[in-house]
Amino acid sequence: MRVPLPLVLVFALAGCSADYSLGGDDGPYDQSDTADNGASEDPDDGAPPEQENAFLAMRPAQTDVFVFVANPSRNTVTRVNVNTLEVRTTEVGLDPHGIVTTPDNTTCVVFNRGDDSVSIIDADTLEQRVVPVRDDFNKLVMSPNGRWVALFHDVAAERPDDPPPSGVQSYNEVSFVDLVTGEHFGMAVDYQPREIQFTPNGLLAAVVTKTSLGIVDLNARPLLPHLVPLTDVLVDPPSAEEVVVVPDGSYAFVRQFGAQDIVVVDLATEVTTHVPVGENPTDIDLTPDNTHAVVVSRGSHELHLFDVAAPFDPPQILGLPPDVSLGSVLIDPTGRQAIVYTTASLTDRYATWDLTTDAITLRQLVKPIREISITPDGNSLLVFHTKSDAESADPASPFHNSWAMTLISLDDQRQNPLRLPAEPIGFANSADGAYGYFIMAGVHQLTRLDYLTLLPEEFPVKSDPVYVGVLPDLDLTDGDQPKAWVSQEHPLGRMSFYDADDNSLETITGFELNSAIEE
Amino acid sequence: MKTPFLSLLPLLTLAACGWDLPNSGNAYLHLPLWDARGIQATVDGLYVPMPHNGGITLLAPGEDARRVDIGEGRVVNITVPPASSAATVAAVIERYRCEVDDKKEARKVDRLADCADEDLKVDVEIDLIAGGVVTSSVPLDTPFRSMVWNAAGTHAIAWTDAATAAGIDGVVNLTSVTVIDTIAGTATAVPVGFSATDVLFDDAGARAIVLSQSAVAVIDLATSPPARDVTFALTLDPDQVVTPVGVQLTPDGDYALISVQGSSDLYVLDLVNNSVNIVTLDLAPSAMHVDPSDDLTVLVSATTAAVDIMDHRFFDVTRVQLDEAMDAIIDGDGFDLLYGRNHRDVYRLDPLTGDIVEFRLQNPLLSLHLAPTEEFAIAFTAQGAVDGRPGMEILDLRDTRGHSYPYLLEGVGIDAKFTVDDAGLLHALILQSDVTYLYALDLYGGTAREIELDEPPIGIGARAEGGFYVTHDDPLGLVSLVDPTTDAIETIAGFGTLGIFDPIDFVVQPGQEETP
Repeated sequence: MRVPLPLVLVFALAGCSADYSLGGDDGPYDQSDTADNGASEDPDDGAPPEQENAFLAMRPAQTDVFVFVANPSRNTVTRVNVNTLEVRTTEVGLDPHGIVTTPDNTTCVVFNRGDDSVSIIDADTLEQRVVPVRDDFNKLVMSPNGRWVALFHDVAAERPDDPPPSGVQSYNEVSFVDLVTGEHFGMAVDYQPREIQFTPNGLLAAVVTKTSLGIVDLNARPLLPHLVPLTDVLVDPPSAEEVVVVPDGSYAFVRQFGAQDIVVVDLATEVTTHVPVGENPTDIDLTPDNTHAVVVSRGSHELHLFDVAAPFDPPQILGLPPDVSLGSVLIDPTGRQAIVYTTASLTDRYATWDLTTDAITLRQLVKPIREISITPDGNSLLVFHTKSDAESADPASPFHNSWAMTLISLDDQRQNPLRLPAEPIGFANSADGAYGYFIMAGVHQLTRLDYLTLLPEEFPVKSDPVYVGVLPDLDLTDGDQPKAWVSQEHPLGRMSFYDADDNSLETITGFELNSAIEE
Repeated sequence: MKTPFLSLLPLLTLAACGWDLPNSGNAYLHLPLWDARGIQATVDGLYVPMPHNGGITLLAPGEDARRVDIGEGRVVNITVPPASSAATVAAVIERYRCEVDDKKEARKVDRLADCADEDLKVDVEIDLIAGGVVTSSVPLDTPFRSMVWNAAGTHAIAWTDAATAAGIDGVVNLTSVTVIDTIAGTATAVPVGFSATDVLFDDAGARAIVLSQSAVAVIDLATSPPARDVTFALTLDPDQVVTPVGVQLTPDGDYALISVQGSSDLYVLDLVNNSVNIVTLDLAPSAMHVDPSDDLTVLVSATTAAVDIMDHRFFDVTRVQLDEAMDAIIDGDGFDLLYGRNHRDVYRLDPLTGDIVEFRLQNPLLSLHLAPTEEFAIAFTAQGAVDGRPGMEILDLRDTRGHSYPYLLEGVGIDAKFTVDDAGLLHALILQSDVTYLYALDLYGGTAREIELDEPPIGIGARAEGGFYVTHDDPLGLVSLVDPTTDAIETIAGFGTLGIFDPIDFVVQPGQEETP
């Protein structure tokens, strides 16, 4: 009998606003977290894995006042003050290719891909420190408390324009950088790290590799990982597909490709235990109060609810509608209800799950689901649809073979399906849940969604939009809406800022020229 | 018996000494004697460029025409500094030396044309002239083709661009402009970028905005010596050439608006924070004007039938549709006149409200002239298809209904000047091509009279002391001074012959030492 090695990782969702680039099928930005497409590994329902969002390296970063844009060809970062439109540009290392900001809005961190370094920049003064890291990384992750960044090479995130490696290259290395002290800690973990997660308090990090978790005590010196194997299969071991860590650092729930159970890892004792969860588990999430882990078993049409304080107690099992494939769960931030859906097949239905009553209700959509998002206040649901239609779709439908999205009120389930002229490529929601914004490929407009009326409003921009975001709202009670921004294609940089308070749209263009100003 | 040799001796001697015959009153005119279009009207009188002798002639009221003693050399450029300057004109002068090592060869060099190119040395200076006398001079490194003064007349910036550098001997620096400080008497080269094309001073005269190929430089004139403060690049791609063609400053001086050739991009340079923003217009501007009172910029384009009005806070653009594309703007007090050459529409635009009054001309427009009271504008139009005669239309700008009053002219309208008589009546003086009179029109009453001229005119200008001067196409020089209050005309003729036999010469004759 295998000695269980409970090992718990804390899963923390970083970021102050829900800004996403759309991934999934039917789109060019297929940025799935999954390193492998497990379709061939799943013996039960034959459907591919569920598609989730992934970090996109070139996305601008934001604080409450500034938007930071990396300019890889100029080796600079441009900071735009959203209120005054003042533009300042500062030089960083070679080929800046990842940029994030700390939750306290004081620091911007840039990963310089070309010279393997990290620039730690004061958001106000633009003074910076440069910290060399290990070579050939392509992913940057920040801890939720903004104290650490971690970098690694993710094979799944490799791009054609990645600089060619020089000299010895390792696929087992990660770097941790203390943003306060500027110290760098490099280390070797297991083969091909694919994800790094932090506890909310920043004390612990977990490096997820194919077959192990590398637990890093960030207070310990020397800073080294402790590897916890996730399987005792030595030949062709199953890969970890998803890891959810409990915030108190007690347990981690690991879902492996093609496995029919989940692995519960006790972080303290490092004991791993396989827990059955029905057939073909495809998603794990924590409830917002972090008391339960929810596993969606697509094959057996079940939800398994685990008490994270007692993960080995029998879970509560809720049945899902048996005649529809549902493999993903998204719980609203208030914990009131959840959406159970699938992105792995062309299914034009979803279920709402009332967490209070455990009532599960199947509902109809106009088209299958590509991506969904619940507003921070939990009142509204935004559904982006696939262009392809469900098998049973009516060819005469105005949404047939078309891009579409649906706004849904989660209070009364009102829907407003919208036919779109092009593929949506990004969206963002305001922190108070009042508005959402999205952009479409090749369409020169920013669309604002009013979640109260479920009505869209379009604002023209000058060129193809690339990314969209909403500044964090530091005071949800002041009645002011933070600005939304949309970056656009332009050889010299273009960004527009929308203020919902006065319905104004301002645009700055050519800010990359600031890097060539000679004083 | 005399030998034939002795008879031939004088002839042989003459042959040995060369054909150095005394001047018999002939002069070869490779250049005009005077430049009718280069006249500068000042408080001293009219300064007339004399291309043949390379000098300047002053036509002062009540005096005989006289040459300004600039020494040996050639005037290449005359500008009039602002009225606040102590000088009335500034002349850029080339002075020539022929540096031939061999003294025997040097004696053979008598004229400029005799000096080999490699021996010809050119020194350049700018002479400040007042009262017909050179008061000071500032040496320059190279000749220049363009010069602009600041409002105070304390500084001028001179430059040569690539297009006008032809004809300048020697190495020409096309990446610098020369800042001339007339107070300190210095000339400082300031690097600005390749091939400067235009310069704009701010209202205080403390900064100069210099347009160059793919760059805009700001020169700080308050420092000593003047120095480049900042350079803005207009592109980051070395393969792309961005040619700035227009520059305006916002009323607060915080922003420079730069239009570029063939592009709808308007570069907004923040001169306070040193940053760049590009406002993408929906038209490629042919002309723009900053309205200081309304703090707006008006832009028109020869290819778009619209006028864009841009604010200076967010640089938002409001568009007003027109029936025809306009390519020029004349600014009035609280309004702008928009017009396009060879078009038939003229618009009076209120930039604050966007309201327009459309004037429809009978024939295509040639030129437009705004009266100083801004109540009327005069449009010269091309020959009509029906009547075959050129025309003139008086646009009543007081009228919101777009009324204009057409006239047939005897000759194509050249220019119009305006005068207000003692009774406060506004008159226009109309100059027509090949017509030997000035047409004086009372714009309020509509009555007119003809002021006879001796010869057909070339141009008309305002005199500093009042009245006007009219130039005529007479190779020996002919200018008419017109008093519109009395219709009296004083004619000055023949001044072109001054210095006709005094060619441009060396500062020092070759082989001789220069007198300090």
